[in-house]
Amino acid sequence: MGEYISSAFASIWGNKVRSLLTMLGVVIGVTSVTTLVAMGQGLKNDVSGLIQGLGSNVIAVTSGKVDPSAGAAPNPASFISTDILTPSDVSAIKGLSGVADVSPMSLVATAYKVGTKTATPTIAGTYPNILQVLTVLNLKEGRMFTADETAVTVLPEETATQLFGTASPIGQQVLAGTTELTVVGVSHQNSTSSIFGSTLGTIALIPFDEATVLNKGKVGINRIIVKATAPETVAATKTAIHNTLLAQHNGTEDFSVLTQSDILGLFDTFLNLATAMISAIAAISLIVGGIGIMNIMLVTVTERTREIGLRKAVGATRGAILVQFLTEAIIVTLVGGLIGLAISLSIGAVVAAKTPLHPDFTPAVLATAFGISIFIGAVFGIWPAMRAARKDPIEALRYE
Amino acid sequence: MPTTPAIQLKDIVKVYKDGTLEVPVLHAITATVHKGELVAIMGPSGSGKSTLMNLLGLLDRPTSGELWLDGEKVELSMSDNKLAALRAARVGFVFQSFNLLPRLTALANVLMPAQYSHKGDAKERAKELLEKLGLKDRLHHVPGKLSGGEKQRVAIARALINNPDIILADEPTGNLDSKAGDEVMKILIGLKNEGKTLLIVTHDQRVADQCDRIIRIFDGTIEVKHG
Repeated sequence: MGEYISSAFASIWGNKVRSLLTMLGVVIGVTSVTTLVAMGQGLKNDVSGLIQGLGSNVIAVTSGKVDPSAGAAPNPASFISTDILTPSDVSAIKGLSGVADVSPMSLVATAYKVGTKTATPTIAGTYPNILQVLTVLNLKEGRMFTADETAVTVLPEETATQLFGTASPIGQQVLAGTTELTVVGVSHQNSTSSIFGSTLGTIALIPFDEATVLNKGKVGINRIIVKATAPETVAATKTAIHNTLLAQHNGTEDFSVLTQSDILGLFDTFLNLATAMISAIAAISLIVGGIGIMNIMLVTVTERTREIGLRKAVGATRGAILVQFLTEAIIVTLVGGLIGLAISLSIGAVVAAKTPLHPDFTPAVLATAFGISIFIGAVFGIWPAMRAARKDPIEALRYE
Repeated sequence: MPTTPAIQLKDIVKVYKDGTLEVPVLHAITATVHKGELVAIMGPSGSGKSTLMNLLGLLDRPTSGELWLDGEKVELSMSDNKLAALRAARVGFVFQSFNLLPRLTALANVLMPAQYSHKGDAKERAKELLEKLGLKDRLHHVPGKLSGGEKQRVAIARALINNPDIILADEPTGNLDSKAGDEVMKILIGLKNEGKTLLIVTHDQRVADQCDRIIRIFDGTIEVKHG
C-alpha cells in the first residue's frame, strides 16, 4: 500500500497545476460544507446555552401550534397573536397539581422616555411572582411591584443605565407613551437566556393590568410562563396543561406547550433544516468536483496506457492496477479535502474574531471532511480505475 | 550444450478472432529452448514473432497446444491473477523503447516489479544490479537524464529484479547506436553465462550472430537452425 500512496503522490506532484485544478472542486465543496456545518454547530451551542439558562422546570405556553417533532417551520405570525391565550387559561393552569407558579406575559409596544433620553426594552406586563417563575431573573436594586400597585415598573439593568446613568433610578419617573411609571426596582440577569428572542436582560416588567391599560384596554397574553414543582414533574405537568387548555379552547389546539427540551428541539429542527439545505448546495459543488476528478482520471489512464501495460507485464494483477488508480483519485480528493479544511479553519478563526458567531469544528465536522473527500475520490475514481485494470497488457504496451 | 528444457512448446496454435473472422497467427508450433540458452527469434513483420513472445511471456494464452516452463505445464485455464504471479516470478521483459516510467528514478523503475512480487530486500538488490550494470552514479536520475544505453541497462536491471529464469527481449538494441547496442549485448551474453535463458527478437543479423541459435518464423510456422 505504501508504494501505491507514494506513487500517487509522485503522479500528483508530476502534474502540479493539473492536480490543483482537479482538486479545486473538492476544495470548494469541503470548505463550504465544513465552514457552514461548523457555523451551524456554533449557533446551536449558543442557542442551547440561552435556552438552558431558563431553567429545566420552566414550561412556556405560546399561542399558535408548534410541533417540534414534526420538523415543519411554524408560522411566525401565530406567535405574536394575543387573542388566543386568556386570563382564564392562566387561572386554569394555576389550579393544576404539579404547577408551582404561573405568570402571564403581555407585551407592550412602546418606548421608555426620561427627558430627552429614550430606551426600548421589551416591556412585559406580568404578575409579581414572575421572579419566582423565571429564577434567572433577580432584583439588583429596589423591590418587585406588588399585586395591587399600578403605574410602576422594574427596569432591566441595561435600560436603567441608558436612562439614568450611574444615578439610582429608584423612585424616578419614566414615561411610557403618555403614562408615567415609577421605577421601583432594577433587575439583573444571572445567565444569558432568551424567551422572546431578546434576552431577559432587556425585559422591563410592569403590572399585568398596567399592560392592559397601555394596550388601550385590550387584554392580550403573548406567553404564559409556568414553573413546575420539580424538573421530574415537567413532562406530566406539560400534558396536564395541554389537556386543560384543550378543554378551555373547546378542543381547538391553537396553542403550544413547550418545555426547555421542546424549545431546544425546535431550534435543532430549524438548524438541521438550514444545515441540510446548505449541505445540498455544497453537495452540488462536490459532485461537480467529483466529475472533474473522474474526467482527469480518465485522461490519466489513457495517457498512462503504456505504463499500465508495463505494470501488467511485470506481474501487476487487475486488482493491483485498480487499487493504484483508485488510490491516486482518493489521494487527490483527500489532499483537496485537507486544503479545504485548512481554508475552512482559517475562515472559522476570522468569523470568530470579527462576528458574534463561534464556529465549532467538532471532531464530527473534521471526520465529515475526511469522509466526504475519501468518498468522492472512491466514487468518481472507481470507473477510471476499472478501465485501467481492464486494459489488455499487449494492447497497452503497443499503445503510442 | 545445455540440456534442461527451460521452455517447451507443443503444437501451439494461436488464432485471433476479429468479429466472426478468424485470423490464424501461429500454426502448431513445437520448439524447445534449454536452460542457459541465448536464442534469437527472427522473421519478417507479421510472421508471428510478437505473438510468440507474448505467449512465452504469459501475456496471452494460446488457442491450443501446451506450454511448459521449467518442466511445469502452464494451464490454459489458469486465472489472470495466477498468470500475473507466474509472470512476475519467471519472466523478465526488455523492450525496444525501454518503457521506463518517466517520473520515477532509475532505482524506483528497477524496484517497480518488486511491488507485485512482494520480495524482501528488493532495494538492496536493485542497487546491486544497477551497480553491476555500471549505473552506480545514476541511481537517482530520472530516465530523461539518461542516455539510451543507460536507459536500456536500467530496463535490464528491472527485468532482473525478481530474479526470473527467462528474459524476453524485444529488439533490445533497436533504439541504440552500435556502441550502446554492443554493450547491451555484452550484458545479455553475461546473463546467459550466469545461467539465464534468453530469447531475443531481432532484425539485426549482427545481434543474431551472437546468439547460440536462431529460431526463424515465417507465416506462423517455425524453422529451427542451429547457429
